[in-house]
Amino acid sequence: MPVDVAPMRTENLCRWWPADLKLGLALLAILVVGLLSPEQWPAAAAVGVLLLMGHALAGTSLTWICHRSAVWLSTLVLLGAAMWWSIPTAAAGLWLWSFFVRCAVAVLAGLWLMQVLSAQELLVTLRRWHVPGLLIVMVSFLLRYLVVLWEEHERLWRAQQSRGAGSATSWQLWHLALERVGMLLLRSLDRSERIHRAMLARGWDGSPRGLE
Amino acid sequence: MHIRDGILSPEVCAVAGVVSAAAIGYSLRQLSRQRDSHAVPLTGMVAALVFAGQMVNFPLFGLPVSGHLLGGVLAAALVGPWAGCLAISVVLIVQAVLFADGGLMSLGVNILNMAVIGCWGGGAMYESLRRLVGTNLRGSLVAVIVAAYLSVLAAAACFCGEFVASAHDIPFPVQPLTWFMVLYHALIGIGEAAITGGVLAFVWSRRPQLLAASETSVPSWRPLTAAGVAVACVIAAVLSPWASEWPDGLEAVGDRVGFNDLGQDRVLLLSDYALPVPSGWEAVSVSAAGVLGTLVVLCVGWLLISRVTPSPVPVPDASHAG
Repeated sequence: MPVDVAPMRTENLCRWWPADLKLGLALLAILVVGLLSPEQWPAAAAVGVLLLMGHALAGTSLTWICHRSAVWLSTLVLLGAAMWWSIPTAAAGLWLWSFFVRCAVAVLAGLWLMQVLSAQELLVTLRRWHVPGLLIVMVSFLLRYLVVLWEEHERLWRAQQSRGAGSATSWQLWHLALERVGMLLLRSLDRSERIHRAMLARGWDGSPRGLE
Repeated sequence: MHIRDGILSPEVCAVAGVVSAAAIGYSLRQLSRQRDSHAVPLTGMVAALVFAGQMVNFPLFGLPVSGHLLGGVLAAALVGPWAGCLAISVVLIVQAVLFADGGLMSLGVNILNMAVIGCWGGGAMYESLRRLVGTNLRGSLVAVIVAAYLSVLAAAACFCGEFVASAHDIPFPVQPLTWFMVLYHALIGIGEAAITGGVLAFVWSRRPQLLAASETSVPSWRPLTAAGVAVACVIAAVLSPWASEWPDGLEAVGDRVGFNDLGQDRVLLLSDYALPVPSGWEAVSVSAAGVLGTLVVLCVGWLLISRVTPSPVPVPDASHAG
């Protein structure tokens, strides 16, 4: 799986906090910085410092935070280019700086939540928040079969490479990638058929149930 | 395309969240009505597939940026718009909460742009085009490629509208941003259209019955039209008071050239998108004017379409034949 998750440390102190508290804190931080005006950017930065302390409690490495934060740089580059085109003024500079701080704090909050909330906790919290059962079942299917599908994708890619995909031109590589996704789709549809039959054999009647 | 927190204002996120929640509720209701127990694992698997597909970014013709599959039209073509909308929504929820990809507060905006517009809008476009150009492989491919491309542009245009509604005090004109967004996503749209068309062609060549089966879940145009009108009215009523006060492109050029003063006395009614109301009620006036304008455009469009659409040819009764 190419998902860039920092290695979980045993000294992750936030791991044992209630899931509602973790979700609530992350949302509160994002909401507070969203409501601040551009002139109040130091307050947003203070929330960012609190989140960095949260990351320290969770045992996240600074390198990983910097690496993940670089993902949203494209948005800032786009906005910066748009502002450069529009003849920037001092007010525009302040607006862009506060925008940068706000986004950085929101990214820190999202990354902190990613480090401290597990998939199982998410499912339990969604059920507790009375999210429709069908949606929770779909989320659990996604989480369960994502890894399986990715392993399937790796197998298909290895098979294509053994048949000479390594020396293919870029056009052929595009074609091979489409074939891989198409094959993955067919296999996942077959798998969903098998799961459906297994669910029917265990008494599935279309209504969601959880292991209480 | 995943909008991160901090970019849009909490008010816009809240409105988009309500619209998205309503869209998810409606999709769940439609899926439950189908009484097909297979739909749940199928939607879960399609969600997992789109999730995996979104992890693979493709380069943009030598530019230092990349794009990725949105998957709205692909999901709608495979499992129908209701299940497709739910699949993409589930993907976005998991990405935002567990993988920090896309914001938590802007989750509703992301669902609106990618799931609702991608699956409902893109799906409706796909079906309409298929009926127009034919339901064979060639017609379906043309329809899905055009719908996938336009769905990316529609999502980008929606983001621009949401950004303008969020930053009404933004200290610079937003036209350059709009141009950048449209140009950038015009390139991403090519990748989206190529992937969606390629996958559909592959499925058609290997398992055509899958696509034939998905035709049974084609929705009626009436609920789609009603949903579209409802969304348009909500946008007109709630977002229009926050519209940017900066001049648009034509007005900016008019200011510079000096033709803005011409024809000002020819406004019949609703001058500057406002109704005549007492002072202090300007926001309500703009909302009411927005809703009124939307409904007038709908009525005129309806009237025009009913005039130009030929009435159905009566089918002769088989019992009287021969």
